Amino acid sequence: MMLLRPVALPVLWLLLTATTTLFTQCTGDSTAAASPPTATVAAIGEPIRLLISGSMLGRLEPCGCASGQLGGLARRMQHIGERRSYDVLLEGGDLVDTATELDVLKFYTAVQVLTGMQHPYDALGVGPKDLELPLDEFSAFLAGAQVTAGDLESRREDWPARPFVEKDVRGQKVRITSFTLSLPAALQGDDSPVRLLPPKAAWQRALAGAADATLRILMLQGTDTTARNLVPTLSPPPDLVVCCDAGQLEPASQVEHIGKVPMVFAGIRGRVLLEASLLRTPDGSQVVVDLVPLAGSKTVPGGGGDPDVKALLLAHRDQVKQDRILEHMARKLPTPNGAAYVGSENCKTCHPTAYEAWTRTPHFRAWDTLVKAEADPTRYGWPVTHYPDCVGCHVVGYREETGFVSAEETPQLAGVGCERCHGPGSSHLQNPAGNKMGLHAGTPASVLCIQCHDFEQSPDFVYSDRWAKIQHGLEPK
Amino acid sequence: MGGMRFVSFTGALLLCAACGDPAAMPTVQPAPPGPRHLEYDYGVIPHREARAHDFVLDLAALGPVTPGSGWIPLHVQLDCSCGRAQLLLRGRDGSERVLDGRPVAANVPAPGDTVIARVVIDTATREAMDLPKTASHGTVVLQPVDDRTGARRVRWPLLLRFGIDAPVDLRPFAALDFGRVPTCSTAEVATSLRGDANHPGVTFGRVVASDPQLEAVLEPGDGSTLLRVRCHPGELGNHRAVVTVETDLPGDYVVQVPVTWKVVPDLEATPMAKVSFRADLRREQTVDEASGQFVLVTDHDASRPAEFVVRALVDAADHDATAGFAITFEPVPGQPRQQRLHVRYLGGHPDGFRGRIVLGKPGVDGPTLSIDLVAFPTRDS
Repeated sequence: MMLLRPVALPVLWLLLTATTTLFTQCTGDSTAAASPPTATVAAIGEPIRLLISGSMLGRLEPCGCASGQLGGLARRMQHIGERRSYDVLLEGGDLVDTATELDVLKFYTAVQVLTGMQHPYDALGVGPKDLELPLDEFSAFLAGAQVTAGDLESRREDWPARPFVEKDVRGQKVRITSFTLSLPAALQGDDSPVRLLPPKAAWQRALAGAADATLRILMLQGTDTTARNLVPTLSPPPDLVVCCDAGQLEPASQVEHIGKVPMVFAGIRGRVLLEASLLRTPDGSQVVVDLVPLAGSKTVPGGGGDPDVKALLLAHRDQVKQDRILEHMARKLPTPNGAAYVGSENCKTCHPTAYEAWTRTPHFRAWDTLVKAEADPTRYGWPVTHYPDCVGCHVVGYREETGFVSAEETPQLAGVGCERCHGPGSSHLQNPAGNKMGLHAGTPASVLCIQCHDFEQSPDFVYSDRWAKIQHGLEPK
Repeated sequence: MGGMRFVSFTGALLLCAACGDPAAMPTVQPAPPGPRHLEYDYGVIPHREARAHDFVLDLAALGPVTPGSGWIPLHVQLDCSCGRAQLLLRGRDGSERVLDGRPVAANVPAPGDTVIARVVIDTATREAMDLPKTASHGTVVLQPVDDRTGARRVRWPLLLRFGIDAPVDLRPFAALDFGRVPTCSTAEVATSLRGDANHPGVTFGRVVASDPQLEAVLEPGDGSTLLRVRCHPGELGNHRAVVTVETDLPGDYVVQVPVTWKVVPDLEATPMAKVSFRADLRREQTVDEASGQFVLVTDHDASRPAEFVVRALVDAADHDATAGFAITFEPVPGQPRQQRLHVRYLGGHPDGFRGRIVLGKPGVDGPTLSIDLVAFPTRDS
């Protein structure tokens, strides 16, 4: 809920009706007429109603491990389906966070939801993290979708991104492009199949053939500082900049400006969407925004959301189990101190008091919590104990050498045991005096905790409150 | 859903390429050093009421930015969905001015001004359930007036504690979700209403649904009152409405029950009307290779036979492509109205295929169901 709105805007903006949107999709053909418009011409009409998000980072849905979690594709598509009034749906890019096997499956599922269902997105940007995926999969999944990457060029025949996408909304052309601004290391060589264009040239290419009256939207992957440095160099200026800044966890409820160009933030993980009404006036572009937190119900299984999307996500979960992704991703990374995980039982002999304190905490029961949640159809209904994102926070050392693989293979590492915070203990076990244990990789406790108890998964997490629940001291030597 | 499956994923191909963090845990950028958090306990708020608190920000705690400069309070971000916030400057005379979020000199507090973050917790936005005392977070974002890029912004943390006391227990559902509702049917869900321990004698009055497609009634139950809601599908797509139940509780308290549903056609393919797969398209697939290439098809209208037949299989130019694919149907155990439609590639499209399968009902000209069919060649085919 936004409390403030720019008073200069007509109240009519706030009375948008569910006008039927007649549109035609056009491709961003880089061979189109080469001269971009050179001047901004006022085109007062009806505002264009946008729904903006970005940087999903693999969060297809909230994990459900804490109350009050926001977001998720099912709730998003339910919201879009209920409103029926958005003219343009924008997703900034970085649908996934890394490039594991799990991320490939997530990317595929996200693309299916965003492009293949009842309300297909009008523009998908490309983030640098998306480009870490195998390009064959990236290109195949996005084939035919409204994907734009204005500053990327590729020699691949199946390259799915266009310099721009354009939509006609009630006679008003809206042209959208996205700047990725950086490439992952694997694509930076001279023989890379993907090349990054300088922003000015990319902007000219993205505006090729656009009429002066066309609304220009630029999505960019970078910080607001990047945007503030870049946007003034672009001519003609964008009517709206959508900044996909990973440091902006949620969209701001107020529009920022770079000179006269309005800038909004997409937020991350799709927890809170941004509604925006965009209109060009004689004084420049005007934007009104409102936040849409995607809250769920505590008593509806899965928190609610579009049932078809929920079915698709369930299929994704099942496939992750079926393909044994959990096991495939295990033990791929070195441990921070080079030692091996040994399990909490080995700590008990010398640290009986701390061990006893641990057995009274939710950390001790963390794996059982997952098992029980999986068995409760009103909470989950999907194989939580086989889903890497969930398992990682309920065990010790997942993905690291000698760490958790599965409940069957490594039962001693199920649950959040001593080594989750203190690091692998084999060397300490062999020589306690010579190899002192501290916190995992020297990470400060408050930072270590929020690897799992982050703003999304533990929205009510307060370090001092929680420490009181798990407090345990050093044992007498 | 095997129909959504790409068969080319191999572990060796897709090993983690860029995982820098120890265990692929979610990570958050550490916040830059900033002022100590401001904390306030709103107490336990009766449901549907709002509570406001003014957090007073003493900008002296931030230290001087540069000589002759100052801090501009920009905006407030809150984690919880029921919080609202605004930033104000209160002058010495008690007058208040709402800040508009622009990083301009006009928004720098004047000497003697008090900077206030007014945070309202509005429990009416939440469903009617008790919430034990919890913590929530927020941040006030401030920017030096001479900072043109926003790079020197400071985030001042807020810590909010509150609980919610709802006088009525709704079990098992405080919100109703019908899920998919086919156009040929109606759906019904019930939940019980009962005063909590502090309001044992509450009685319930008029029931109103905000959408005419919903029919809501109250019935006496076993020690409680049953709210029964029936959904008549209406227009295709997602819907949301609210059922309001009046009570005799003080303050004209009403119970509001959110209701969601999605109207789907009687003939449907789930989870989407599309089968896509990747295969070596230079040769015919084996049955095993194609085992994951299916979609669920359903005819919800029980007045017709449950079976489907293939009316057409065409490419993107509407040319017949039936020779390229084998389509089979398989019953789904326990789902008499549903079948699995399997697709197996036979050959003839080595460079890929885009088209659709059109299903109909046996022996009649009735409705049809169109399912997109996409086949990608494997990279070495």
